[in-house]
Formats: sequence, structure tokens, C-alpha cells
Amino acid sequence: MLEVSTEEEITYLPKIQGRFRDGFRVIREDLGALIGALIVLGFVTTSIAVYVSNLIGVQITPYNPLQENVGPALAAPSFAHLFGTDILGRDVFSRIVIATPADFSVGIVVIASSFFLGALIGSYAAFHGGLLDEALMRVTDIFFAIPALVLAMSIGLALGPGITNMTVALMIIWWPPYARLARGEALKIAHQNYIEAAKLSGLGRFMILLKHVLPNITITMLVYATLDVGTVILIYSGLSYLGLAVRPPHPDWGEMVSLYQDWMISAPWLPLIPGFIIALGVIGFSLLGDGIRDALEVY
Amino acid sequence: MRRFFLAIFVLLGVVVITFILSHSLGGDPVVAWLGRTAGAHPALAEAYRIKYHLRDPLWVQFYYYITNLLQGNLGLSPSRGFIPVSEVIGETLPLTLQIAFFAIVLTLVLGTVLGVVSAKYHHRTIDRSIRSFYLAGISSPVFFLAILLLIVFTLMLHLFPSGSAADPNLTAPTPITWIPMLDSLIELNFPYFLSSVQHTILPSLALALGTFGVIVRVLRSSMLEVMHANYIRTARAKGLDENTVFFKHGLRNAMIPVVTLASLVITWMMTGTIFVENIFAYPGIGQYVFQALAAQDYPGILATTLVFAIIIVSSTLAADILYAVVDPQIRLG
Repeated sequence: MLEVSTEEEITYLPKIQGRFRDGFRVIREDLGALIGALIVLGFVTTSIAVYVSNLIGVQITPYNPLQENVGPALAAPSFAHLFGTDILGRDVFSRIVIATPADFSVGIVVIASSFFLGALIGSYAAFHGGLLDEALMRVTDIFFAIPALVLAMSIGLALGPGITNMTVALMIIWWPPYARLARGEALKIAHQNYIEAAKLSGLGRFMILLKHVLPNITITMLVYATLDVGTVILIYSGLSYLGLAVRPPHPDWGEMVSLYQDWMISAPWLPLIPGFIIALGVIGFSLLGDGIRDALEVY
Repeated sequence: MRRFFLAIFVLLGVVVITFILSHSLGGDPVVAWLGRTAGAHPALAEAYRIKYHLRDPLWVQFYYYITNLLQGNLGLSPSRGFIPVSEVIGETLPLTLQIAFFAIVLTLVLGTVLGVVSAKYHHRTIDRSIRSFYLAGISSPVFFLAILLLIVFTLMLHLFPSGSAADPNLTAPTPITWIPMLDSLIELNFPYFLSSVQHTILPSLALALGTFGVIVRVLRSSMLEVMHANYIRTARAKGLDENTVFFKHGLRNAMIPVVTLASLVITWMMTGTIFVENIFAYPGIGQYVFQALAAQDYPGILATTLVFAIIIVSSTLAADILYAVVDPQIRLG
């Protein structure tokens, strides 16, 4: 018995380590993935900095993002005001910086919850089979039929506007693709020898799922999740644009685009800059996700 | 046949979800409909509650909800002066179909051309530039693309108009198919047709720019895979020239997986119309959703959710059938 397990470890461990080492190598060599990693890193650092500065009450932005008349109204981008000022004379750069944690944390929280919920439900359905499995697939069918934004919008309306409520709305609707993915991956490994061995050794179904199935489906799901963070940010920015996420005067990227689009004739950069920042964040996660996928060759 | 029943089942599920949502939406619907009148006349509000079965048990309400749905009765729309929601949808949906049609054509053309070029010159500079281009497109929020197009082509270059579905000074065609663009063609009303095409191009371009990337991505990889197939080697061995092999044997087979993207593309387009129509002030169903949202017009929102779901489910069904037609290896289960 002991011999078998050590043998398995010897062949198994270096493979995983090798894969991750390959991953870092590919990210270093793949320019796109490197750029993606840098963009994500930049946004994450900004988020943490803003969050910490909020906690300890220090202002890290050049101006107070909520204070009016820190400069002339509708000033064009300059060194004093990097992204210009809005109609109330508020500094747009400071407003964009301060809004970073909201967009990023919504992306991460929604993906993390969908990941765990989907992994649990999907792999359980794959192993349980039968009616439960069928029911799960049909429920996900229904979720696929309604555009995520429209569904989130209706749920968001029921809950009332606000970042927390939008996060909850997105968490409710986001897990089905993860359940499908987990189910498919779990079905692939359901008849592997180590699962049979775990069954024979008398391990309960739940423990098998936890100890043997979940660890083996995570890598594929992780790649999908990285690519998906950007999509959540996109949908969230849409909800924010529709006025469902934050209450003015608090800034949010999507909300800023819809607020500033009224000045697109006199100050076209105003709606374009926050829109571009959203795109930049999404591109970062796409490039990083693509890079990781290529490196691990999951698909 | 099984797929058809599945589609019906999915729609039923959507109806249940919208029903649940309609009951969890905050506030008293009667107050929402009547506004201040409800407070001033409690008896009137009570009469409305009884008339609309709001005092009945939930399953009775569900029964009435379904019967009303089947009769096409979707309630009244507070954001449009209390005209029936079905009437609003009848007015706005055809205009959105015009945008959707052009957007799908643009998406397919852009996606196929760039996908083929990408596959043909894979790992070269042009492949990489195409990748950056579509990555920028699919990563941008659609409202950003729409505002960008509006600023560049309407405000700066004055190339395309915006603000309506067609020039309001032109005589509108009599409704035959209810789709103005088609009607004006049937009546040979060319000025109106041209004007509506002009008004449609930018909104549909905004939608297409955000969507064509998925097609490029899938077509490129499926093309690269197909070109390694045995029948390609056979075709080359027969002495066919490379272009015939590439387009006739390669592209045709590589297009098959693209069909499966239909429901994804339609979903993105439907979502996109909400933003794009609002930005271009185009009076389609997307603008209606936007206005209904601002006015907390629940009947309008629930009805449009249902309409979107019907469009998505039926196009997915159509794509599944088409998939079986183009690829005989797939059998409809």
C-alpha cells in the first residue's frame, strides 16, 4: 500500500509543479499575458491602496473626489487635472481612482461565489446522476435563456439599487455555467481508478467530492473563472450605467459614463475616459486568462 | 422534437421566474399604477386590488397571469402613459429587429473575414493585430463603443444622423409587415428606406464591434483544426489549388461550430440594444427597457424580459436545427 502511494506521489507532484512552472515561463515569454498581468496588478494595487486609505482616513487621490469646484468646470485634461474636471468642477481622475475597488471586488466576489457554488452543485449532480442531474441541467437552461444583464436588472430592481444588492443579484444568476463546467469535468474523472479506490476504501460521497473530485476539476474552472472576471465587470458596469449600483455623488465607472454622456459635445473625453478604463480592466483579465489557458493547455 | 419540448419547458421556467420577480418587486403595484390617487381614494385602490386579483392566493394569481399572457395581455405601461405593454412592444420591437438584422450581418461579415485572414496568416503580424482589434471590441462596454461612434461619426464627421429611427419629415410607409424598412421597400418609398438605413448603421455597428470577436476566435481555431483533417490532405493530394482547398473544403467545414454561437451572439445583441438605443435615441425595445427601468415600470420590464427570452430560446432552437442540417453527424435528440 505504502509503495503504491509514494509511487503515485512521485509521478504526480512534479507534473503539477512543472505545469505551474511552465505557466510562469509562458507568462514571462507571452507579451500579451505579461501586459494582462501588469494591468490586473495595477488595478488590484489601486484597489487595495484605495481601500486601505479609506480605512485609515488618508486621501491618496490628488483631489477630494467628492468635493466640487476644485478646478474650473469642464476643464480639458491637463497636468493639474489628468482626466479633466466635470460640470461641478470635480476632479475626474480622483473619481476614477476612488471607484476602482467597487468594480474589482464585485468581479472577484461574484466569480468566487459562483466558482464554489458551481463546483459543489455541478460535481454533486455528476456523481448523483438521475433526476437531480436532469433538474440541474434544466434549471441552468432557463438561466441561459434570459440575458444576464436583464435578469440581474430585474432582481436588482426587486432588491433595490446599491452595490451590495447588485453583487447579490449577480451571485444569484452567475453560477449555472460553473455548475455545467464542473459537471462535465467531474463526469470525465468519475470513472478514474483513484475515485474507484476512494469508494472502495469506504470514503463517503461528500468526502470523495471534497478530497478527490474538487481538486481535480479546479484548474479548468480556474482558467474559465479568470476569463470570466472581465465579463462580470462588464455586466456590473452596465448595471451601474443604468443607475442601479451606486447613489450619486459616489462615483462608479459605469455611472460616470452615463452621467457624463450629456457633455459629449463640449467635453467628449468625459464619457470616454471612464468607458476606456472599464475596457482596460476587462482586457487585462482577458489577456491574463488567455495566457494562463495557453500555459496550462486546459482546453 | 425533444428540443422543441425543452424550449417550451425553458420558456415556462422563464414565465415562472418573471412571475416570482413580479411578486418580489418592491412596493404595492396599485400604488405604482395610480400614483397619488391611491392614497386619496383607498376604496378605489381596493377595487383595483380586487379587479386585478391581488387579494387572491398566489396560485390563483399565477393562473390569471398565465391566462393573460396567452391572450397577449401584458398589463399597462406606466412609463408610456398607461397604454398596453403589448402595444408598446408591437411598436418598438420591429425597429429593434432592424438594428439586430444589420448588427448580425455586420458581425458575420467582420467575424468571417477577419477569422479567415487570422487563420490563413496565423502567428503573423496581421493575425496579432486582428486579435488586438477584436479583444478591444469584446472587452469594451457596449455603451463606450456607442458613445465613441456617436462622437466620431455624428458629432465630428456629421456622416450619420441619430435621434430617431428615420427622418421624421419623410412620409412613413403604411404598416404591412410592421417593419418600417421592409414596408418602405415594398412601397418603393426609397427616401424613407435610405433614411432608416442611415439611422440604423451606427447602432448596429456598435453592437457588431462588441460581438464579432467571438466569431473570429472560434472560426480561427476551428479553421486551424480543420486544415489538419484527412479530407484536406486528400483534397491537396488531388492537386486542387490551395485557395479551393482553403475556402471550399476548409472554410465550409470550419463554419459549422460558428452556428453554435448563435444564442450567445443574440443574447449579447439583445443586452446591447438597451444601451445602444438609449445613446442613439433610437425608439426600439431597448430604449423602452431603459425608460421603463428609470420609471420603475414593472409590467414593461417583465414583459420585455419575456420577449428577450422568447427571442433567445427560439433562435437557439433554430441554431440547433441548422446545426443538424449543416452537420449530418449531429442528430437531433
